Amino acid sequence: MQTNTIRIVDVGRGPQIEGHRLTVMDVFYYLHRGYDFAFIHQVMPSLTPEQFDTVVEYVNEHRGELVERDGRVEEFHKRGMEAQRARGGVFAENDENVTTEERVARLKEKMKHKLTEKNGARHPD
Amino acid sequence: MPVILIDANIEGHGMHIWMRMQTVQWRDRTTALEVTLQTFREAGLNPASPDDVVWRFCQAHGHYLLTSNRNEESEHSLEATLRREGTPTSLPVFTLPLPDRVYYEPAFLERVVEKLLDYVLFADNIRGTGRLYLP
Repeated sequence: MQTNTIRIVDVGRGPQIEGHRLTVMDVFYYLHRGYDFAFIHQVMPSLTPEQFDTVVEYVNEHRGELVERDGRVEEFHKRGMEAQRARGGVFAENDENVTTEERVARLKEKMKHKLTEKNGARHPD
Repeated sequence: MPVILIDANIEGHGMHIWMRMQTVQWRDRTTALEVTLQTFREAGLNPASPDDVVWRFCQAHGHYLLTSNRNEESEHSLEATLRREGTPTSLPVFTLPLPDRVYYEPAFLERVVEKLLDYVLFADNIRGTGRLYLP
């Protein structure tokens, strides 16, 4: 499809804006969740209004297919997050109910511990 | 010096995260870990680059890609590149699967910042993991 020479092409990463890294799915994530161009442009400042219009036109013609894809991507990330968190340690999800001060303090402690470990490894005596 | 390269689909979020990392609470930790965030242009990478080129650029320069990539597993997708070219020592890609929450939930942003700095601190432990989620 074509609008003012801006085209949606597929070069092996799903539909994307020709000459740009942004894909239809990148923009559709926000459109599907009710965000408008003003917000999407904050997120992706390199997206021009003309490119956005072209994506919207594509979305209107392929909405059902894109909704399905969006669902598959959500499922893929959900599975990936679960697998990662199950590994524990640095891979675990950080807790929600902690103040910024506590987060900073525990990071500082980890940095201190890591430095001690490093120095210990250097000087085993 | 760890560089986090901000993908085009998340540039605004990247700036939001960077501003948070520069606040009085986090600035000392960010500085101590020598973390910087860069856009593709700042890093000297063409913003139209395909995923495989971006991934190789990151590996060659020791950069971490920060993305909210939503491509599926087609031939030239980021996911296919990670699987095809990743090695046990490859640098991971940081993925923000719920990017809009960074704007609307300050507590979520704090968790993202903490997790990013955690990943950088434990850089040796996260090699070869492919994709790592935030937070």
